[in-house]
Amino acid sequence: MSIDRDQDLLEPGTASTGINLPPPLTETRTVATTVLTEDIGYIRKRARNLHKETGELHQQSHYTEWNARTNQRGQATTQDMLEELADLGFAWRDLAKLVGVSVPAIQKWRRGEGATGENRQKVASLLAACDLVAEHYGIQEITSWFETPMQLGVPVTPIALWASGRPDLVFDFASGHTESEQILTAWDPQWRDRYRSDFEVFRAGDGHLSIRQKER
Amino acid sequence: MAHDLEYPGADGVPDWDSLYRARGDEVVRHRPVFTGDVFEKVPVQGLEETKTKTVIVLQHPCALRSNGVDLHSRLMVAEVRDHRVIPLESWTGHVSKMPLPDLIPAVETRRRHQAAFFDAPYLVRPEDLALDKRISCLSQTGVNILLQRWVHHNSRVVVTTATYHEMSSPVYEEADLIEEWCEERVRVAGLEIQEAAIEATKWLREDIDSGFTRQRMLEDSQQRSTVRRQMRAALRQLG
Repeated sequence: MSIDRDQDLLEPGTASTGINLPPPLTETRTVATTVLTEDIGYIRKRARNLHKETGELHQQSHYTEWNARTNQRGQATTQDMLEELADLGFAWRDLAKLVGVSVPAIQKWRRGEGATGENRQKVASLLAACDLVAEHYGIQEITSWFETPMQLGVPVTPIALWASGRPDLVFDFASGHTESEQILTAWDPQWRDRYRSDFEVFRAGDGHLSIRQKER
Repeated sequence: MAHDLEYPGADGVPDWDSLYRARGDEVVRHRPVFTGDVFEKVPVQGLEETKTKTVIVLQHPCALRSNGVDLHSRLMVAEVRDHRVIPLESWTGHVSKMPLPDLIPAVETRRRHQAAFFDAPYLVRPEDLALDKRISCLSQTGVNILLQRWVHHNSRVVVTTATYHEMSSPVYEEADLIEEWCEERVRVAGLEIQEAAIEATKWLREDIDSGFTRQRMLEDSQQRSTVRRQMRAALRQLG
């Protein structure tokens, strides 16, 4: 342990030989830096393990809270929950994607037609996630946050993460504890290649968006 | 990674449903005509005499309308016919077609699966694209794949669907908003669809700040939810 090592460093040469001359300065420094490197390496390892453990714990707490909030939200009708999501600014097609159904299905529920218990639960869980993210991480424009690409030039949004069944990554991204690149890699290890393009979008002379080849 | 023509789905698993926003009874009249809409029984003008065909709208959304509301006097479409399902691994081939698997999911016959044939293009008059003859509207994924294949057919250039997505998102969003506006105004105020569409377009193009419009706001993904909220508030106000 580092405390023992520190003790050794504080009392160099007192243990055995009786030779009064201290060890050469350079040797002492070498020993000290070696021990320091080992100590820091040890601390880093502990920090890494701690980071992993707290990350998992944080994820568990997100899930527990999310479930509790979902049960609370699920007391409302599907129609009312959809209205609330629409008032937050979500597009119907995005809601369809997030819940995993078609746009016409969402529109039917919106008009009051019944949804299955499972789908109602999905709508409630989305509202609950919005509550959680907004409350813990101070995200004011929750819909805008959900539909904004996580990284410039990469069209992956929290909506895409959620729709692919990775709410854990959505919560992690919201928390700011993990870099967006790491989250994208966890979601799709091929994302860099997948979204690399030789083309870019620009505003053409007629004022409309167009596509052109990037400058090399 | 070299990019090739893409397919609907991921990791080698097809997702034909992701091509469509609405099919059959799901299609609503309030939605403005858009790239990728499939109409049946449309009189088409080609080299031969006028015939009636099922067609898909090919033109880019920005090339469909002259003033934001009225369609151009001639629109380019491609014939849609029965076609067996093209397996995912073959979507990089069949370059002169846009596969439309499960286009008519209500039937089990060979009509269920169709394809658009880019080598059978026609011109149609907008008045012949009757909204009650529209049998399908593509999703944004579907529109992006259609644009990728149509542009490749004409130029042999492959542009990723992600790039098409970036370019076409604002106009797709606009179509969504006009659909919602029209549905509400027809239901609540009894307007005709065309009247409601004019009203919606006027609202989207209104100068809200030194030439800046809500239509322009839709180009920024961070501002789209604001426009949607404003639209819902405007509809409530109109009553």
